[in-house]
Amino acid sequence: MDEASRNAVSITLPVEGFVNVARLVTAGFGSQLALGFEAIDDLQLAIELALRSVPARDGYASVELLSDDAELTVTVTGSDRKALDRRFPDSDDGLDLLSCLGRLVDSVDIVGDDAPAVVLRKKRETAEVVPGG
Amino acid sequence: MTSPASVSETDRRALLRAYREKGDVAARDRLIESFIPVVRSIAYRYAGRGEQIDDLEQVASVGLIKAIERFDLDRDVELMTYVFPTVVGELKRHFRDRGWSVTVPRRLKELHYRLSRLIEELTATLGRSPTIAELAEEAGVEEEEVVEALEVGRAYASRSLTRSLDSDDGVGAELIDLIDDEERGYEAAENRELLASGLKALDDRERRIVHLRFVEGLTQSQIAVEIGISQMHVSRLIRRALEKLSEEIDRP
Repeated sequence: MDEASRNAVSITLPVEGFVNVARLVTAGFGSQLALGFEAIDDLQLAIELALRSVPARDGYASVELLSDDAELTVTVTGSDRKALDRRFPDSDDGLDLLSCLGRLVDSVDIVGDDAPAVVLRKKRETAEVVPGG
Repeated sequence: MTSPASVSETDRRALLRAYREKGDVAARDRLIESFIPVVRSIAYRYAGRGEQIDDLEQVASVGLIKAIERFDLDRDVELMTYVFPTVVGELKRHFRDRGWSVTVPRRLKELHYRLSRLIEELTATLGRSPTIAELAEEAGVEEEEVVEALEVGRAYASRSLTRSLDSDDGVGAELIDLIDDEERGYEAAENRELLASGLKALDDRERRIVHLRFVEGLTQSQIAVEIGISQMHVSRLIRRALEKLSEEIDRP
Protein backbone atom coordinates (compact mmCIF):
# COMPACT_ATOMS: atom_id res chain seq x y z
CA MET A 1 0.00 0.00 0.00
CA ASP A 2 1.28 3.42 -0.90
CA GLU A 3 1.58 5.20 2.44
CA ALA A 4 0.96 8.54 0.77
CA SER A 5 -2.55 7.42 -0.11
CA ARG A 6 -3.35 6.47 3.48
CA ASN A 7 -4.81 8.76 6.08
CA ALA A 8 -5.44 7.93 9.69
CA VAL A 9 -6.93 9.78 12.63
CA SER A 10 -7.53 8.31 16.06
CA ILE A 11 -9.27 9.90 19.02
CA THR A 12 -10.29 8.72 22.46
CA LEU A 13 -13.16 10.57 24.00
CA PRO A 14 -15.72 10.40 26.78
CA VAL A 15 -18.87 8.89 25.35
CA GLU A 16 -21.09 11.26 27.31
CA GLY A 17 -21.18 14.80 25.98
CA PHE A 18 -18.35 14.59 23.46
CA VAL A 19 -20.05 12.99 20.48
CA ASN A 20 -19.91 16.34 18.71
CA VAL A 21 -16.12 16.11 18.80
CA ALA A 22 -16.30 12.84 16.89
CA ARG A 23 -18.67 14.49 14.42
CA LEU A 24 -16.29 17.39 13.82
CA VAL A 25 -13.33 15.08 13.32
CA THR A 26 -15.36 12.96 10.93
CA ALA A 27 -16.43 16.00 8.93
CA GLY A 28 -12.84 17.21 8.71
CA PHE A 29 -11.65 13.77 7.66
CA GLY A 30 -14.42 13.46 5.09
CA SER A 31 -13.57 16.89 3.77
CA GLN A 32 -9.96 15.85 3.24
CA LEU A 33 -11.20 12.86 1.26
CA ALA A 34 -13.57 15.05 -0.78
CA LEU A 35 -16.59 13.06 0.30
CA GLY A 36 -20.02 14.50 -0.45
CA PHE A 37 -22.08 16.19 2.23
CA GLU A 38 -24.51 13.30 2.45
CA ALA A 39 -21.76 10.71 2.68
CA ILE A 40 -20.18 12.67 5.53
CA ASP A 41 -23.53 13.02 7.27
CA ASP A 42 -24.21 9.29 6.96
CA LEU A 43 -20.79 8.55 8.34
CA GLN A 44 -21.35 10.92 11.25
CA LEU A 45 -24.71 9.25 11.97
CA ALA A 46 -23.11 5.80 11.87
CA ILE A 47 -20.32 6.84 14.23
CA GLU A 48 -22.77 8.49 16.62
CA LEU A 49 -24.88 5.35 16.64
CA ALA A 50 -21.83 3.16 17.19
CA LEU A 51 -20.57 5.40 19.99
CA ARG A 52 -23.92 5.22 21.71
CA SER A 53 -23.92 1.46 21.32
CA VAL A 54 -20.42 0.46 22.34
CA PRO A 55 -20.24 0.00 26.11
CA ALA A 56 -17.65 2.53 27.23
CA ARG A 57 -14.47 1.55 29.06
CA ASP A 58 -14.40 3.78 32.14
CA GLY A 59 -16.60 6.20 30.25
CA TYR A 60 -14.31 6.39 27.23
CA ALA A 61 -14.40 4.95 23.74
CA SER A 62 -12.06 5.37 20.82
CA VAL A 63 -12.75 6.21 17.22
CA GLU A 64 -10.22 5.44 14.53
CA LEU A 65 -10.69 6.64 10.97
CA LEU A 66 -8.51 5.12 8.32
CA SER A 67 -8.66 5.64 4.59
CA ASP A 68 -6.87 4.26 1.61
CA ASP A 69 -7.54 4.32 -2.10
CA ALA A 70 -10.31 1.77 -1.85
CA GLU A 71 -12.23 2.45 1.30
CA LEU A 72 -12.73 4.30 4.53
CA THR A 73 -12.69 2.24 7.71
CA VAL A 74 -13.98 3.51 11.03
CA THR A 75 -13.40 1.47 14.17
CA VAL A 76 -15.29 2.41 17.32
CA THR A 77 -13.86 0.53 20.27
CA GLY A 78 -15.27 0.13 23.76
CA SER A 79 -15.69 -2.75 26.17
CA ASP A 80 -18.00 -5.66 27.05
CA ARG A 81 -18.52 -7.83 23.99
CA LYS A 82 -21.62 -9.48 25.44
CA ALA A 83 -23.37 -6.17 25.92
CA LEU A 84 -22.41 -5.19 22.40
CA ASP A 85 -23.84 -8.43 21.00
CA ARG A 86 -27.09 -7.79 22.88
CA ARG A 87 -27.18 -4.33 21.41
CA PHE A 88 -26.68 -5.63 17.89
CA PRO A 89 -28.45 -8.98 17.81
CA ASP A 90 -27.76 -11.06 14.73
CA SER A 91 -31.29 -11.24 13.45
CA ASP A 92 -32.96 -11.17 10.07
CA ASP A 93 -36.28 -10.26 11.61
CA GLY A 94 -37.18 -6.62 11.32
CA LEU A 95 -35.23 -3.40 11.32
CA ASP A 96 -32.63 -3.16 14.04
CA LEU A 97 -29.68 -0.95 14.82
CA LEU A 98 -27.32 -3.19 12.91
CA SER A 99 -29.36 -2.97 9.73
CA CYS A 100 -29.61 0.82 10.18
CA LEU A 101 -25.83 0.99 10.41
CA GLY A 102 -25.63 -1.21 7.35
CA ARG A 103 -27.57 1.36 5.34
CA LEU A 104 -25.31 4.19 6.41
CA VAL A 105 -22.10 2.43 5.37
CA ASP A 106 -21.21 -0.49 3.10
CA SER A 107 -20.43 -3.05 5.78
CA VAL A 108 -20.54 -3.42 9.54
CA ASP A 109 -18.65 -5.95 11.63
CA ILE A 110 -18.57 -6.53 15.34
CA VAL A 111 -15.09 -7.76 16.23
CA GLY A 112 -12.88 -8.50 19.23
CA ASP A 113 -13.56 -9.82 22.70
CA ASP A 114 -11.21 -7.95 25.02
CA ALA A 115 -11.63 -4.67 23.18
CA PRO A 116 -14.82 -5.18 21.20
CA ALA A 117 -15.38 -2.81 18.35
CA VAL A 118 -17.85 -1.84 15.70
CA VAL A 119 -16.04 -1.67 12.38
CA LEU A 120 -17.71 0.42 9.70
CA ARG A 121 -16.49 0.34 6.12
CA LYS A 122 -17.44 2.62 3.31
CA LYS A 123 -16.07 2.15 -0.18
CA ARG A 124 -14.69 5.30 -1.72
CA GLU A 125 -16.70 4.66 -4.86
CA THR A 126 -19.98 4.63 -2.92
CA ALA A 127 -19.08 7.53 -0.66
CA GLU A 128 -20.58 9.93 -3.13
CA VAL A 129 -24.24 9.25 -3.62
CA VAL A 130 -25.90 10.72 -6.65
CA PRO A 131 -29.44 11.73 -5.73
CA GLY A 132 -31.93 9.84 -7.81
CA GLY A 133 -29.16 7.68 -9.15
CA MET B 1 -55.89 24.22 -8.78
CA THR B 2 -58.78 26.45 -7.90
CA SER B 3 -57.95 30.13 -7.97
CA PRO B 4 -58.93 31.96 -4.78
CA ALA B 5 -60.72 34.55 -6.83
CA SER B 6 -62.89 31.89 -8.41
CA VAL B 7 -64.24 30.72 -5.06
CA SER B 8 -66.57 33.14 -3.36
CA GLU B 9 -67.08 33.46 0.37
CA THR B 10 -70.47 31.83 -0.12
CA ASP B 11 -68.86 28.89 -1.92
CA ARG B 12 -66.28 28.53 0.80
CA ARG B 13 -68.90 28.52 3.52
CA ALA B 14 -70.84 25.89 1.59
CA LEU B 15 -67.75 23.73 1.30
CA LEU B 16 -66.98 24.12 4.98
CA ARG B 17 -70.54 23.31 5.92
CA ALA B 18 -70.47 20.17 3.74
CA TYR B 19 -67.32 19.10 5.51
CA ARG B 20 -68.56 19.89 8.99
CA GLU B 21 -72.07 18.52 8.64
CA LYS B 22 -71.63 15.65 6.19
CA GLY B 23 -68.00 14.80 6.72
CA ASP B 24 -67.35 15.61 3.07
CA VAL B 25 -63.56 15.41 2.98
CA ALA B 26 -63.48 16.26 -0.73
CA ALA B 27 -65.22 19.53 0.09
CA ARG B 28 -62.63 20.28 2.74
CA ASP B 29 -59.84 19.52 0.27
CA ARG B 30 -61.36 21.89 -2.28
CA LEU B 31 -61.61 24.53 0.40
CA ILE B 32 -57.97 24.03 1.33
CA GLU B 33 -56.96 24.14 -2.32
CA SER B 34 -58.74 27.45 -2.78
CA PHE B 35 -56.52 28.97 -0.08
CA ILE B 36 -53.20 27.54 -1.24
CA PRO B 37 -52.11 30.64 -3.23
CA VAL B 38 -52.89 32.80 -0.21
CA VAL B 39 -50.96 30.48 2.09
CA ARG B 40 -47.97 30.50 -0.26
CA SER B 41 -48.05 34.24 -0.46
CA ILE B 42 -47.99 34.56 3.32
CA ALA B 43 -45.20 31.97 3.60
CA TYR B 44 -43.06 33.94 1.14
CA ARG B 45 -43.25 36.96 3.42
CA TYR B 46 -41.29 34.95 5.96
CA ALA B 47 -38.66 33.72 3.49
CA GLY B 48 -35.06 34.79 3.90
CA ARG B 49 -35.01 34.14 7.62
CA GLY B 50 -33.07 30.93 7.41
CA GLU B 51 -35.91 28.56 6.67
CA GLN B 52 -36.56 26.73 3.44
CA ILE B 53 -39.61 28.04 1.62
CA ASP B 54 -40.99 24.49 1.36
CA ASP B 55 -40.85 24.15 5.13
CA LEU B 56 -42.53 27.52 5.57
CA GLU B 57 -45.30 26.54 3.19
CA GLN B 58 -45.88 23.41 5.24
CA VAL B 59 -46.09 25.41 8.45
CA ALA B 60 -48.44 27.88 6.79
CA SER B 61 -50.56 24.96 5.62
CA VAL B 62 -50.88 23.82 9.22
CA GLY B 63 -52.20 27.27 10.05
CA LEU B 64 -54.71 26.97 7.22
CA ILE B 65 -55.95 23.58 8.44
CA LYS B 66 -56.29 24.93 11.95
CA ALA B 67 -58.25 27.93 10.70
CA ILE B 68 -60.60 25.68 8.73
CA GLU B 69 -61.12 23.39 11.68
CA ARG B 70 -61.72 26.20 14.14
CA PHE B 71 -63.75 28.67 12.11
CA ASP B 72 -67.19 29.33 13.55
CA LEU B 73 -69.73 29.30 10.72
CA ASP B 74 -72.27 31.08 12.87
CA ARG B 75 -70.15 34.18 13.21
CA ASP B 76 -70.47 36.99 10.74
CA VAL B 77 -66.82 36.96 9.76
CA GLU B 78 -65.33 36.16 6.37
CA LEU B 79 -63.34 32.97 6.31
CA MET B 80 -60.45 34.76 4.60
CA THR B 81 -60.16 37.27 7.43
CA TYR B 82 -59.91 34.39 9.87
CA VAL B 83 -57.45 32.34 7.81
CA PHE B 84 -54.93 35.14 7.37
CA PRO B 85 -54.07 35.82 11.03
CA THR B 86 -54.18 32.12 11.88
CA VAL B 87 -51.61 31.31 9.19
CA VAL B 88 -49.44 34.25 10.25
CA GLY B 89 -49.72 33.12 13.87
CA GLU B 90 -48.59 29.64 12.95
CA LEU B 91 -45.56 30.97 11.10
CA LYS B 92 -44.64 33.27 13.99
CA ARG B 93 -44.94 30.40 16.42
CA HIS B 94 -42.75 28.31 14.14
CA PHE B 95 -39.97 30.88 14.33
CA ARG B 96 -40.45 31.30 18.04
CA ASP B 97 -40.27 27.54 18.65
CA ARG B 98 -37.19 27.11 16.54
CA GLY B 99 -34.37 28.70 18.37
CA TRP B 100 -30.71 27.99 18.80
CA SER B 101 -30.36 25.76 21.84
CA VAL B 102 -26.86 27.01 22.56
CA THR B 103 -25.23 30.38 22.03
CA VAL B 104 -23.86 30.38 18.51
CA PRO B 105 -21.99 33.28 16.94
CA ARG B 106 -24.10 35.20 14.46
CA ARG B 107 -21.48 34.66 11.75
CA LEU B 108 -21.87 30.88 12.06
CA LYS B 109 -25.66 31.04 12.17
CA GLU B 110 -25.67 33.05 8.97
CA LEU B 111 -23.20 30.72 7.34
CA HIS B 112 -25.32 27.75 8.40
CA TYR B 113 -28.36 29.30 6.74
CA ARG B 114 -26.39 29.99 3.58
CA LEU B 115 -25.02 26.47 3.52
CA SER B 116 -28.49 25.03 3.90
CA ARG B 117 -29.49 26.84 0.71
CA LEU B 118 -26.24 26.07 -1.09
CA ILE B 119 -26.55 22.36 -0.37
CA GLU B 120 -29.94 22.34 -2.05
CA GLU B 121 -28.73 24.39 -4.98
CA LEU B 122 -25.48 22.52 -5.55
CA THR B 123 -27.15 19.14 -5.16
CA ALA B 124 -29.52 20.13 -7.95
CA THR B 125 -26.76 21.59 -10.11
CA LEU B 126 -24.18 18.87 -9.64
CA GLY B 127 -26.59 15.95 -9.53
CA ARG B 128 -24.93 14.78 -6.30
CA SER B 129 -24.34 16.17 -2.86
CA PRO B 130 -21.56 18.75 -2.80
CA THR B 131 -18.24 18.27 -1.05
CA ILE B 132 -17.13 20.49 1.81
CA ALA B 133 -14.60 22.09 -0.56
CA GLU B 134 -17.30 22.91 -3.09
CA LEU B 135 -19.50 24.40 -0.40
CA ALA B 136 -16.58 26.45 0.91
CA GLU B 137 -15.75 27.77 -2.53
CA GLU B 138 -19.33 28.68 -3.27
CA ALA B 139 -19.79 30.36 0.11
CA GLY B 140 -16.41 32.11 -0.12
CA VAL B 141 -15.18 30.74 3.20
CA GLU B 142 -12.60 28.23 4.40
CA GLU B 143 -13.45 24.53 4.57
CA GLU B 144 -12.97 24.59 8.35
CA GLU B 145 -15.66 27.23 8.63
CA VAL B 146 -18.05 25.06 6.62
CA VAL B 147 -17.39 22.10 8.92
CA GLU B 148 -17.89 24.35 11.94
CA ALA B 149 -21.10 25.89 10.61
CA LEU B 150 -22.58 22.51 9.72
CA GLU B 151 -21.78 21.31 13.22
CA VAL B 152 -23.37 24.28 14.95
CA GLY B 153 -26.46 23.51 12.88
CA ARG B 154 -26.89 20.48 15.11
CA ALA B 155 -27.55 22.95 17.90
CA TYR B 156 -30.52 24.20 16.02
CA ALA B 157 -33.47 23.00 18.04
CA SER B 158 -35.89 21.43 15.65
CA ARG B 159 -39.53 21.76 16.44
CA SER B 160 -41.20 18.42 16.43
CA LEU B 161 -43.16 18.27 13.25
CA THR B 162 -45.12 15.41 14.66
CA ARG B 163 -46.38 17.11 17.77
CA SER B 164 -50.11 17.40 17.91
CA LEU B 165 -51.52 20.69 16.85
CA ASP B 166 -52.74 22.76 19.76
CA SER B 167 -54.22 20.37 22.22
CA ASP B 168 -57.11 22.69 22.84
CA ASP B 169 -58.16 22.89 19.24
CA GLY B 170 -59.82 19.54 19.26
CA VAL B 171 -58.38 18.76 15.88
CA GLY B 172 -56.01 16.10 17.00
CA ALA B 173 -54.23 16.38 13.68
CA GLU B 174 -50.51 16.42 13.26
CA LEU B 175 -48.34 18.00 10.62
CA ILE B 176 -47.59 14.51 9.43
CA ASP B 177 -51.24 14.24 8.47
CA LEU B 178 -50.81 16.98 5.91
CA ILE B 179 -48.12 15.25 3.96
CA ASP B 180 -48.49 11.67 4.85
CA ASP B 181 -51.92 10.50 3.86
CA GLU B 182 -50.85 8.95 0.59
CA GLU B 183 -48.18 7.01 2.34
CA ARG B 184 -50.26 5.51 5.09
CA GLY B 185 -50.62 2.33 3.14
CA TYR B 186 -46.99 1.46 3.56
CA GLU B 187 -47.49 0.89 7.26
CA ALA B 188 -49.54 -2.23 6.90
CA ALA B 189 -47.20 -3.65 4.30
CA GLU B 190 -44.23 -3.04 6.50
CA ASN B 191 -45.82 -4.17 9.69
CA ARG B 192 -43.01 -6.56 10.30
CA GLU B 193 -40.54 -3.70 10.51
CA LEU B 194 -42.82 -1.60 12.64
CA LEU B 195 -43.08 -4.36 15.16
CA ALA B 196 -39.34 -4.58 15.49
CA SER B 197 -37.95 -3.58 18.83
CA GLY B 198 -37.64 0.14 19.29
CA LEU B 199 -39.47 1.25 16.20
CA LYS B 200 -42.67 1.42 18.17
CA ALA B 201 -41.10 4.29 20.10
CA LEU B 202 -41.06 6.42 16.98
CA ASP B 203 -43.94 8.54 15.88
CA ASP B 204 -45.46 8.27 12.41
CA ARG B 205 -43.22 10.80 10.77
CA GLU B 206 -40.02 9.48 12.25
CA ARG B 207 -41.08 5.95 11.39
CA ARG B 208 -41.76 6.97 7.84
CA ILE B 209 -38.39 8.64 7.45
CA VAL B 210 -36.63 5.67 9.03
CA HIS B 211 -38.58 3.43 6.66
CA LEU B 212 -37.57 5.47 3.61
CA ARG B 213 -33.92 5.68 4.65
CA PHE B 214 -33.27 2.30 6.21
CA VAL B 215 -35.78 -0.02 4.55
CA GLU B 216 -36.19 1.47 1.11
CA GLY B 217 -32.66 2.82 1.07
CA LEU B 218 -33.49 6.31 -0.19
CA THR B 219 -30.82 8.97 0.23
CA GLN B 220 -31.46 12.07 2.29
CA SER B 221 -31.89 14.08 -0.91
CA GLN B 222 -34.44 11.64 -2.23
CA ILE B 223 -36.35 11.66 1.06
CA ALA B 224 -36.27 15.46 1.04
CA VAL B 225 -37.89 15.47 -2.40
CA GLU B 226 -40.33 12.73 -1.42
CA ILE B 227 -41.77 14.53 1.57
CA GLY B 228 -41.06 18.10 0.58
CA ILE B 229 -38.64 19.31 3.21
CA SER B 230 -34.99 20.30 3.05
CA GLN B 231 -32.17 17.78 3.07
CA MET B 232 -30.73 19.24 6.25
CA HIS B 233 -34.11 18.89 7.88
CA VAL B 234 -34.21 15.23 6.83
CA SER B 235 -30.79 14.81 8.37
CA ARG B 236 -31.98 16.29 11.67
CA LEU B 237 -35.06 14.07 11.71
CA ILE B 238 -33.05 10.92 10.96
CA ARG B 239 -30.62 11.78 13.72
CA ARG B 240 -33.41 12.34 16.20
CA ALA B 241 -35.19 9.13 15.19
CA LEU B 242 -32.00 7.13 15.65
CA GLU B 243 -31.47 8.72 19.06
CA LYS B 244 -34.97 7.71 20.11
CA LEU B 245 -34.51 4.24 18.67
CA SER B 246 -31.27 3.88 20.52
CA GLU B 247 -32.70 5.13 23.81
CA GLU B 248 -35.67 2.82 23.50
CA ILE B 249 -33.45 -0.20 23.01
CA ASP B 250 -31.50 0.83 26.11
CA ARG B 251 -34.66 0.76 28.14
CA PRO B 252 -34.76 -2.25 30.48
